[in-house]
Amino acid sequence: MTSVDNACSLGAAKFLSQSRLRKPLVRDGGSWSETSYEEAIRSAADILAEAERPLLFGWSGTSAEAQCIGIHIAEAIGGVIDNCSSICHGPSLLGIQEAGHPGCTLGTVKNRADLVIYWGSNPIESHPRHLSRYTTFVNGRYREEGHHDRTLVVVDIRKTDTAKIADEFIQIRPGGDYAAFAALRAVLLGHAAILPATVAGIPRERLIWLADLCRNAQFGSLFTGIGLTQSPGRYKNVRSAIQFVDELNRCTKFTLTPMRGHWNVNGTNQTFSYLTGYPYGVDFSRGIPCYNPGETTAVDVLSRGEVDACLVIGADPGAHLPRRCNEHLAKIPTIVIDPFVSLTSSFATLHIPVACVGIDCEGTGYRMDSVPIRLRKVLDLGLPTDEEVLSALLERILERGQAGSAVIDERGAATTTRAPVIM
Amino acid sequence: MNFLITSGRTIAQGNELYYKDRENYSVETGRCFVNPFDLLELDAVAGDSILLSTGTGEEVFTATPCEDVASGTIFLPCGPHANAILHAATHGTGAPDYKWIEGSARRVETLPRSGREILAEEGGAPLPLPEVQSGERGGEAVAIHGAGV
Repeated sequence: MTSVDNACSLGAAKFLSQSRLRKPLVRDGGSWSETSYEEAIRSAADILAEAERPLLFGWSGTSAEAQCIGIHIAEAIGGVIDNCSSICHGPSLLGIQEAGHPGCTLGTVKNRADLVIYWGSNPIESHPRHLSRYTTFVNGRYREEGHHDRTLVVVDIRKTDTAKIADEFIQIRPGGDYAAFAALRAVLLGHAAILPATVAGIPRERLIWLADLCRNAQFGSLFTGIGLTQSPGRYKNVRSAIQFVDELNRCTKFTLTPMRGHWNVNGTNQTFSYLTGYPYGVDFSRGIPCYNPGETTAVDVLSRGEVDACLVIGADPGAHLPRRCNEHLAKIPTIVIDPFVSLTSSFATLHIPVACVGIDCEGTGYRMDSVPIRLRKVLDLGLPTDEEVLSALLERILERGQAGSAVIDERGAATTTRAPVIM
Repeated sequence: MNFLITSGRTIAQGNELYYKDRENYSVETGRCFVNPFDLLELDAVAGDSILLSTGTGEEVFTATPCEDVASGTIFLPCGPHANAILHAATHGTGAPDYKWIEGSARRVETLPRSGREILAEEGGAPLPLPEVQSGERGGEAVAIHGAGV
């Protein structure tokens, strides 16, 4: 591949990457050697089935179909399965669980929004096509003049590249989001007079102006970034934002959409919720799905040193988790399933390369507005897909389980939720 | 000097996401964006090495002046350098404090490490680099049409 048309710079870089592996690698001490897919899958199945507290983490960079198989694996081995949303927009989901989700599709934003607010988000750098395809610079059915028909407001702790092109930029003090949303709600409810001179570094008059701008919009869209979910307040910030939007919906139309990151991180929440009842951080160790963020989430089980084996797919904890988690990953058997060399590869016992969804295999992804999109295959590198590798892994694990059950029956031993290992 | 350290995506870091085994990724994740006045206080200029220390650890970054960053805060791109000084507390939510790390900064002579070196210290063993084909990314044969943001 020598060129890419019509992709953003992030997409083009992905297509053009040469950091692809073609054969599974196994680590023996500090050296690596090639192995076969059959042997790699057999070894991975053995590691996961023999673990007492396995973690299956990632899933945001793979298809919804693969995610479903992963959940079945977690159930079969009594493991914890978590996705990247636990470290990014998981708190948004907690806020939504408390207060609901006043959302809409991006197409609705494109066609109707005359006010767009990015709060704690910098899409120019994180989602390069968001403004031009869906929100600001695109012409819509009822916004025929594109950005001339819309007002763009950015609220952030720093003057980001998105803030520089906004019609209005409001700089907020770090950690001040909850207070700012509460103040905006107070203005909407007619209590502007009780506000202090500044709230979270924002002058009272500026907050009154913003509240009026929102109230007078025909259709407003608030996009919330991880600036809200990874700073003090966390899910309470998002809940407060939703409550602000709820107040606005008493007098106009207003929506809220979290700015999801990985291309299919929203898909993980869809598939996890559909199959287990919970969007992330699902623990099958008791034979039923349990969910308790802070306890059953990846950073927590890794930093506590609970996990004794880990499968990483569609994510790179080596690049994005705190060092304490990585130090633990380095101590335990870690299996990486990834089309690319990642930093987590450094901790891997096994790296199984696969086809990349949307490049050399098909798959379903969920856009940030929860619209499912079918990704096409554009070339063939001859690598197995995530679905194929995971299906083989599940099959091998189930075979082991059945063999274990047969032994139990013959011996008349007490039943157990975990299948014993038959070597 | 004490700072509030916050991290997030940059387009340069994002462009290197699928090249993490390459030097450029470490160059981009090893930057720290500092208000020019704070940089003056640190007696440092663009390109100098800045040691950031937190309760979790310390890591060397390359000073990058940035007027967009408020005085008293330092912005780091997502990546292994930022994570090396990030604690693992999630306050019952599952998400660490990527946007809220309290720490201190001072100018040092030591050069920033690569991502692979950081991970090696954390216990990793880097994979052998895949062989790069001639004319790939950045080469003459590559044309990224319509790739602007």
